Amino acid sequence: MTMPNDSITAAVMVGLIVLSAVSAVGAARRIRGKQQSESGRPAPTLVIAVVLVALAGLIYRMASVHGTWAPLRSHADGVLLMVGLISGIVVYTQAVGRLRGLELFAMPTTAILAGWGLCSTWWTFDQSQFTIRTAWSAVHITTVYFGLAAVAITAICGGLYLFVQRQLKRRDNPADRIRILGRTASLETIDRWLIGWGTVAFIMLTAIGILGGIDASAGESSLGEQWWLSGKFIGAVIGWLIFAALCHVRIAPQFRGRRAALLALVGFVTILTVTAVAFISAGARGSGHSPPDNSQVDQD
Amino acid sequence: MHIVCVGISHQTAPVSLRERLAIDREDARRLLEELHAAYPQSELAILSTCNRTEFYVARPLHGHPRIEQLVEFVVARHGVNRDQLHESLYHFDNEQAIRHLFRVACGLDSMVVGEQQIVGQLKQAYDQAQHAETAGRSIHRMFQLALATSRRVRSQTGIDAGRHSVAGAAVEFAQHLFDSVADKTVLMIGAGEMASLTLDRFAAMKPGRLWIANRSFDRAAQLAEQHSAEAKPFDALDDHLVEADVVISSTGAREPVVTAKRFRKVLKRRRYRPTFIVDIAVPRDFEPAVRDLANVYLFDLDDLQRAVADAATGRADAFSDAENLVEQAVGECYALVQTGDVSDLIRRLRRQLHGIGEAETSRTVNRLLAADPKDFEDLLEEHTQRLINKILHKPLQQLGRSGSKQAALYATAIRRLFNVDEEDLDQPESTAPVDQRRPLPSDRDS
Repeated sequence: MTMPNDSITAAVMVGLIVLSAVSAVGAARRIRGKQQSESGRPAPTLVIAVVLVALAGLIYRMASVHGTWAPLRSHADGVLLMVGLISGIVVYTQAVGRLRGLELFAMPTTAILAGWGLCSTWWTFDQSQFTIRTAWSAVHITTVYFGLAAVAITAICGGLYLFVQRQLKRRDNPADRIRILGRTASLETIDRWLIGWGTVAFIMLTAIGILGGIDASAGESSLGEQWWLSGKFIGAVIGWLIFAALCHVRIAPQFRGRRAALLALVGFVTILTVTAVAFISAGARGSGHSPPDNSQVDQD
Repeated sequence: MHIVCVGISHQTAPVSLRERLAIDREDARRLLEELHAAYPQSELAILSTCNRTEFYVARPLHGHPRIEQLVEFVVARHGVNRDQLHESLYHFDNEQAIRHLFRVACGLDSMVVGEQQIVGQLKQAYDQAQHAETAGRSIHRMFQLALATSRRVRSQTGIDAGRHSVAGAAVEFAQHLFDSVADKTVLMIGAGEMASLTLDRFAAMKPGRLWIANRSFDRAAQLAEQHSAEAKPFDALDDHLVEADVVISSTGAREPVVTAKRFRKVLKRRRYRPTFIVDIAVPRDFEPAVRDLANVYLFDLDDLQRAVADAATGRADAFSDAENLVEQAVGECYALVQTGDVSDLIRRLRRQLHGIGEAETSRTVNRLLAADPKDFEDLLEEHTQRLINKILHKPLQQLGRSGSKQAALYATAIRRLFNVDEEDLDQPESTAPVDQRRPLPSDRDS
């Protein structure tokens, strides 16, 4: 195993993992705890810290590692963007008092994503930079990370939905359950966010598919000429179909409620697996894009 | 200051007496002004709610009004029977009075433990006392600390978070399923009393539609009129279930009215929209298997009663925690009130002594101006003697006049305060020669 290609990026990722984990533990303690908090709202300090660290990491990488203000030049940048977006949404929901309890699932997710970012600094040591030759490639990569963030938020809502539903369905300790439920959003609110973000994720995945197709047709992809038979493409299509089902629950009601939440989680795992496998397998080939010109590669 | 609380509450007086003693805002202002005019040295506040009427008084130790005077005032003012009032009346002094106020503020003395309404009523009582200018240092401290303790107790113990009824628990569960019932349809099946109470709670949340279906349509119509609802025919129950988001069921049927098989069809027709069902009937109206269907949240009487019972158990812990917090705050408040009192006493004593000093100095200066310088020493010694005599005159007079018990008390106080003969009490007996020992104050004085 090689050392991380940029020690500051690795430190930022470790910092994000620690902050997210501590915040997640705090959220779990607050939601399950017997004591009522003074304000009735969680302290957002740690989540704000996650947003700021992710943002600082992204700016540092643009300015110092890549030496360009164009964002998303490598996978680590994408991870920082996703972590920042997800924790930013948590801060927003806490500030406006909506979707209470989101941090319970959001912060473990950001910890996992930051862990993935840390690993990627090892895996993609040599080919850490995307080679962006056309505008389509740039838009495709940007859409990939915004889409991944939307998929992650949908899954987070799914996790929260299953948690709240379990509290409503269980029969033991009703007083404890009411106390826990008092610290989370209502099932109806979570369902609305789940379907809303599922729709956003579906639109983004559709855009990713179209842009990726254009990219591949133009011969820019490392997947080769028969890219439609590659595992990455097939996995992405499965993920897209799952989210297609998810955002249509209102006209296909058999997917409503618990099934929609499960679909969101399965969709997230599928998309994450597709992306992770693509990155691992492309580690030596240039992150799913044409191998870069070695003279352009930064040691980030 | 001596703190007194006199009053009646739901625990001691019937509603007929509480009604007669109830004091509205305008009346309270007048009463405070009258009492303050009669007893200008005292601080006063009146707390009057539907469950209690209480007078809080902070007066000088031997000042007025006494409890009897307050009772006479109330009897004269409200024309109530003195004996009946005495039977229902309670009074507390000093720490006990503060403890009572704090318990009232925290809802520990309320009919529904932990209720919030009392906080607003206490604030109102405090505001009235402030406006009538009957709130002095002691009342300010007591009420401000009582309100602060109330906030602390409620946030730290969750004493106000409990459910107090089956209907309340049902509403609380429903609120965790739906954002609001404003766009929902609430259906009551049957006409049971508890279901009616539960319907009341849901009706208070202003649902989109409120329906009542009963085997007897007349009874349904009658109930519908009471609750501003719409009566629906029982025969079309499935159609109503398709529309209803919240179902409250309490029929007298011996067998389940809605089976899982029947409800599965209903669920399909309502496109699997979530349904909240409160089944308060015994035997149950909904087959237990309905609970396992997707997007159905079924709560029976057993679930809701356990929620209420668990909340009561939880409240017992919260109650004990709240009492501990109150006890802590009472000690602090009493110490603060007394410290303020002592500072005031010291200030007044100093003013009094300065008065004596100034009078004597003025007299001596006049004599010095007219005297021969060789008499100055005698005049100054006389000045000192007169000053000491004047300062000690009243205390020594009281000491001489008091009974044996009080005299002993005063004597001890004098020993402590002026450090007279204290070595024997506080210090181990010295073995040093007499001439090396610190001179006794009496020695110094002489």
